[in-house]
Amino acid sequence: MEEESTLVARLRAGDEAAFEELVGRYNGPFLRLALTFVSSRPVAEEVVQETWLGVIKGLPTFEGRSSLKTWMFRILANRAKSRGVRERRKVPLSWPAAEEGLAAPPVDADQFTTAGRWRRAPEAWSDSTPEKILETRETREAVLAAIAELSARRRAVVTLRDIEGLDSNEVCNILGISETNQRVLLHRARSDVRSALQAILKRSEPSAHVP
Amino acid sequence: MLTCRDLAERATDYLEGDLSLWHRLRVRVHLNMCARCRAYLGQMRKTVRVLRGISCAAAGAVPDDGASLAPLPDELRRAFRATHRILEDE
Repeated sequence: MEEESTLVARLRAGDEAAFEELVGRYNGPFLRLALTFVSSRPVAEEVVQETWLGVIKGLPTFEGRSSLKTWMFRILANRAKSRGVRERRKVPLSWPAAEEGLAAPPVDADQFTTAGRWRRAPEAWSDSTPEKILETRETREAVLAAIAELSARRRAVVTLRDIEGLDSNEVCNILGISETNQRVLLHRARSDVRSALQAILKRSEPSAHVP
Repeated sequence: MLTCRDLAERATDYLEGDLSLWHRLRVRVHLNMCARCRAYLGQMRKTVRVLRGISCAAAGAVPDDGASLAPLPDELRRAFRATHRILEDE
């Protein structure tokens, strides 16, 4: 993959092919993130379009203090947030303010004894590798569905951290949330996906253990 | 004593290396003695690997539903060219 500084230089020089590459690479990820903020695909596409226009406008003065990727995602997050807020005017939704602290614990309390021990052993999932899970349509789609069902905030964090591979500082920067909040959201998101995977793998595994 | 429930709460902090030495050691001691928590952590690790594999999987396996915007829409092409033109004229 091309070095970012080279790409930025090409973009600033007006290299259209470079811009096409950039759009090709990031439009999908942008859409994915935009959908965590707004309710519909058409609106998400508009937000992404606005983001690209913002990127084009800001490129001449982009100083490279953050990475290009982080900078672009931040533009997107800001556009998407204000759009999301406007959309939900009837039901006020404050993006950063509500803390996760009061939400239910990531693993259901009833999976533990009162002494705090696991009631049943979590399975090893030894037959299912991540590759197999992603390559099998049924399980892959179930994972994507589980992610889609996460709360917007959890979905945004896990999308940026685990799917897009950004580090925690970048994610806090992009979403305007505290480190603590980000860690809790990531944990809860991963826990929710784990629970979903648990259910998926139970369904697709053969029922009896043949001795 | 660290319970399994406590460990489950801290699993991500542990996997991300965000625990202090003290807490990390407590987790390790518990893991040494608790196969169930080892299994649980294994699940969390696998979950993260599945999540990390999604962008590649999505690119390959799912038919392009217009997400990649190829070819470049006219509006973006025009905007990109316009900016460069302005810079050239300066």
